[in-house]
Amino acid sequence: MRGTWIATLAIALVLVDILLSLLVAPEAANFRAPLTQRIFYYHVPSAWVAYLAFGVTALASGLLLWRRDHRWDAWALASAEVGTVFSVIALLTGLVWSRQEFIGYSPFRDAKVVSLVVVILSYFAYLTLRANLEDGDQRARISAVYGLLAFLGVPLSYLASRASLHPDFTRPDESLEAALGWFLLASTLVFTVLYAALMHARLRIARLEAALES
Amino acid sequence: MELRARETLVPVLLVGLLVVAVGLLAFHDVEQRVPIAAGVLWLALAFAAAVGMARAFGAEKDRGTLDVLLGLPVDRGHVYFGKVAAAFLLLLVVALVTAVTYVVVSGEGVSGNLLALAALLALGSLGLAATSVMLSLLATQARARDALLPVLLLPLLIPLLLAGTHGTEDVLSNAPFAQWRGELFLLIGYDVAFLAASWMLFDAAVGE
Repeated sequence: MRGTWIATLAIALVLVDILLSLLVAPEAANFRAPLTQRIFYYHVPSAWVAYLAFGVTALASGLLLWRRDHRWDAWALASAEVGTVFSVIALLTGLVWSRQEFIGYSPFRDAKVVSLVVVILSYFAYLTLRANLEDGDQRARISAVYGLLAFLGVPLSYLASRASLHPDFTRPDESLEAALGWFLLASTLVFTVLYAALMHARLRIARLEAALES
Repeated sequence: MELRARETLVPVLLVGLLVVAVGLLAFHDVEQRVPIAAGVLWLALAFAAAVGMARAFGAEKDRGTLDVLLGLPVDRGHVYFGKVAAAFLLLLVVALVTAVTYVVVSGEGVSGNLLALAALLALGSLGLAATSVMLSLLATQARARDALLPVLLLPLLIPLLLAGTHGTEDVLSNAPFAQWRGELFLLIGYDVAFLAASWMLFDAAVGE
C-alpha cells in the first residue's frame, strides 16, 4: 500500500520512544517527584505539536484566502483535528506533573497553561464553527477567517497572564541535566514524525471523501 | 446604523444588570471586595457583548438589508468600522450603567483613579466591539448562529478579560501606574491587532 511507510515509521519510533523515556532515560535526581518527571517526555512534545498544528492551521487558512485555493482547507481541518488531541494531552499531562512536583501551584497563574487553554478552546470553537457551515467554498472561507483570528489570541493571552511558575529550562538557573535534555529532544522529534504521519493519513481520508462525493 | 436601539440596548443592559445582580447575591459576604468587583464588571461586559452582538448582522440578514449595506458604494471597511462604533457606544453605556449600579447597590465607597478605570473599560469595550462584530458576521452565515457566537467569542476574549480584570483590580486598589501599565498596553495592543486583522479579513468574511 502506498503511503504507509510514514505510519510504520511513526509507530516504530513511538515504541522506541516509550522504552527510552520509561527505562533508559536517567532518573531526574534533583526533582521532587523523579518518577513523575518522566511525563516530560510526553508533555513537552505534545505541547510542541499542539502549537505546531495550530500554526499550520493558521498558515493553511492564510494561504487559502491569499491564493484563493480551497485545497488548503483540508490542511487546515486536518491540522486542527490532530492538534486538538495533542493540546488536550499536553494540558492533562502538565496538570498531573504539577500536582506531583509543585506545592501550592495554581494553573491559572501560569501563562503557558492559560495560552494552552486558549489553544484548546480555539480548536473546539473552530471545529464547532465548521460543523455549523454547509460544505464547500463558504465553509472553507469562513473557517479560514476564524483560523487566522484565533491565531492572534494565543500570544496575547500568553502576555496577558501574570507571574508564571512554569519551569523555563532556557534559564541557566533552572537548566535541565544535559542527558535529560537529549531524551526530551529525541521525544520531540518522534512526536513531530507522529504528527506528520497523522496529517498524512487525515489528508488521505479527505482526498477519498472528496473523490466519493464527486 | 444601530438606531433600532431599543431592540438591542434593552436586552443588553438587562444582561449586564443580571450579571451584577448574581455577582452581588453570590459574593456579598466574601472578604476580597476588589477582585470580585473587577470580575463582576468584566463578566457583565463580556456577556453583554456575546448577547448583544449576536444580532449585529443577524437582523440585517433577516431584513435583507445586509446585501444593501454591503452593496453601498463605500469601502466595506467603513461598514465594519461603523458597526464597531455602534457596538462600542452600546458597550460603553453597559459599562457605565453596570459600574454605577454595582457601586450604588453594594454600598461600597469608590476609591482609586476613576479616570484610569474609565480608560480601561473604554479600551476593553472597543476590543469587545471589534471582535464580537467580526465574529457575528461569521456566525450569521452559519447554522445555529445565535448560539454559535459565544462559542467563537470565548477563546478570543480571554486575553482581553485577563488584562481588563487585572488592571481594574490594580486601579481599584490604588496601585501605582507601573503595576498596571502592562495591562493598559496589552488592551491597546489587543484593540489595534483585532481591528486591523478584522479590517483586512472583512472582505473574505463577507464573501465573493
